Amino acid sequence: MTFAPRHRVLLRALAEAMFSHAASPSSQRLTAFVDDVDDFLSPVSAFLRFGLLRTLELLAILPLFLLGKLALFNGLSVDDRVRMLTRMERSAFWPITLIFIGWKTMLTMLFFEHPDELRALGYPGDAPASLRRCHTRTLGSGQ
Amino acid sequence: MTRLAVTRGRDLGAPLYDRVDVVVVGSGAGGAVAAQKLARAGHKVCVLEEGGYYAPEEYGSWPPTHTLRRMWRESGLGVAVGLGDTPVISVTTGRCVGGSSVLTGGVCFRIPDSVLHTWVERLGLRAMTPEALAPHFEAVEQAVHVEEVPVSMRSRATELLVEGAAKLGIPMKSLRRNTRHCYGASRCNFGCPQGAKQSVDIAYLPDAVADGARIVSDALVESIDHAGGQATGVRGRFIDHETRKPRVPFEIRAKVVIIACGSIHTPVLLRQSGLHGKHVGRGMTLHPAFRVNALFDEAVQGWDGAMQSVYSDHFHKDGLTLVGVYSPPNVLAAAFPGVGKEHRELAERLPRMAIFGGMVHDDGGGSVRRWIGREPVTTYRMVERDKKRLFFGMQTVAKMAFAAGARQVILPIFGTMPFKSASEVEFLTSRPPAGRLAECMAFHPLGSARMGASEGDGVVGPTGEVWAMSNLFVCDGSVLPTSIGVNSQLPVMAVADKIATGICDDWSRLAGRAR
Repeated sequence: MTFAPRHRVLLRALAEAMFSHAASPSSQRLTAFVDDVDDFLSPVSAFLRFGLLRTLELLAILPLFLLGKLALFNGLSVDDRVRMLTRMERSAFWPITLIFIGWKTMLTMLFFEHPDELRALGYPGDAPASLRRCHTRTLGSGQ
Repeated sequence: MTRLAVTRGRDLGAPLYDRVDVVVVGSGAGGAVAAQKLARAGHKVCVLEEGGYYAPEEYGSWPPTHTLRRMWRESGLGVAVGLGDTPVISVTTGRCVGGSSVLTGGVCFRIPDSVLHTWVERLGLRAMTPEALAPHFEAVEQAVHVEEVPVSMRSRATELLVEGAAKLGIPMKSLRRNTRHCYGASRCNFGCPQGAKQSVDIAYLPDAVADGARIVSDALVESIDHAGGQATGVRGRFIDHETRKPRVPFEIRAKVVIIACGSIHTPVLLRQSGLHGKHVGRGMTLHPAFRVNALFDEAVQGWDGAMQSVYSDHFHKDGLTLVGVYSPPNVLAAAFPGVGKEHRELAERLPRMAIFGGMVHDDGGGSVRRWIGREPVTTYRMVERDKKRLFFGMQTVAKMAFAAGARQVILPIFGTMPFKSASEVEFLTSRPPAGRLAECMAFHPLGSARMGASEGDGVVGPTGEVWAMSNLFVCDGSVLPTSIGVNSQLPVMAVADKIATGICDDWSRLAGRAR
């Protein structure tokens, strides 16, 4: 286990904002997701893990600077979190952008790997049409 | 496919001591080819691989992020830190039996003649002529079954961009890849799901084992043993499966030591072993690459075809190669701009999204330095010329997409939203953004232990032997002295074949002076 409880809270808040659209992801889904992120980061070097967690902690205090709100990131409403992350992504101060992009890249890869999400994106699954066609031909020829 | 006979270091409870003719550190494109060649010649070979062993049936069934966490170094999160106005570049390398060859798109190019002429004429590497390398390319092309990607393997997404390129007068050609019976699943770089890609764990290591080579996984080599200026073996520790920390020691004595850890880790091992030459870990090239997303009205299903099927060398003289590319949907979605609903709306347009990319034939602005812990710090300074090439490449691909009828184009520039016309991307060359805002990746780190005609010019000589230590060879991409402008898998294999052939030919001398 890599994450301290405070990191889990922050990650959960980050994921909830990043992946909310019609509704927020369910609490159960978020818990499983944070576990998955933890597992994903467990093979990386101690130095990289240290750096990533520090950027997460920095993100926690950014509402003061980006929204002018005296609150931690996880204490904001989902709408305010989305607003802050959008500002981070489009910030003219590139280190702020990089902090968000780093986490966004990793979390998005993990979140959209869930079969339900892939289906929602219109992805038919690992076997592409060309392979399905080939199987059909093979079956048809009795091989 | 049969499971390769690999000794899993993680399962060994007792220290391992062995004496062999040749020890090869690293089982990727360079190490595997050298191991097979030397084992075939009758030498007793031991291959040590830091990563684990996973059979093609295993990794082929995993979702992409499972491959990332098990087979990619740093779960795929490794970067080269940009110095000055240089982007932070994602640098991906493999850590598994088969190395990065398991994780490539399978694209196979020979080193362009123009590059080899530079090596011969400017760098004095007279043995690296196109004619001298040709038999080695032929040998590896045959071994890994290099074939042209048929037009039928192009997805509709790729076809559209080829049409767009044609309208701009940019010819496209079919790529060659090391595949056999590929049906196209567009996820080659996360482990082929069909066992079709002839990576070295399939094409080379089984032959090496059949010829008596021993492959040991989970074996972290920590230093090269040497005496009197001559390599005598290596030592290190096996990585514990549970804690992922080095644990049980091993020591392999050998007449010849071959280092093939790739451009990021070969210089680290050389430095850890007391080799501090001025070229060790310096002058690394990356082939900075980019990817442009284009949104069409029709469903283009980019996943339905080969991950990479076409390329253009139209801008070769300008240091730019354009390459068709795709990736699993969750990986692509990670690059879309926006947060929450905005991001979701773009992600849901994925079936209508086509992707095309390119890479820059760069100057060697990279360096690798040892740092706290196992992983080194990699830095990269992009020269002004290469930044211009990068943005020109993005602009060209965007124009291809608009010429093909794309509604919107997403550029890999942080903070930008989709662009709606070709005129909107003119700024990339007229008022280019800061280089550090570009989203870049690199799959071909090369040249960090470069070949040089004399000791002052490089780390290894034309035979691959380290200038500063006899019977020690480097046999991976780190010896390539300049950027090559094309995918490096096949060139690394051909150069490894050449170096291993030289070792075989010179064996009696090398073995005679071994301690």
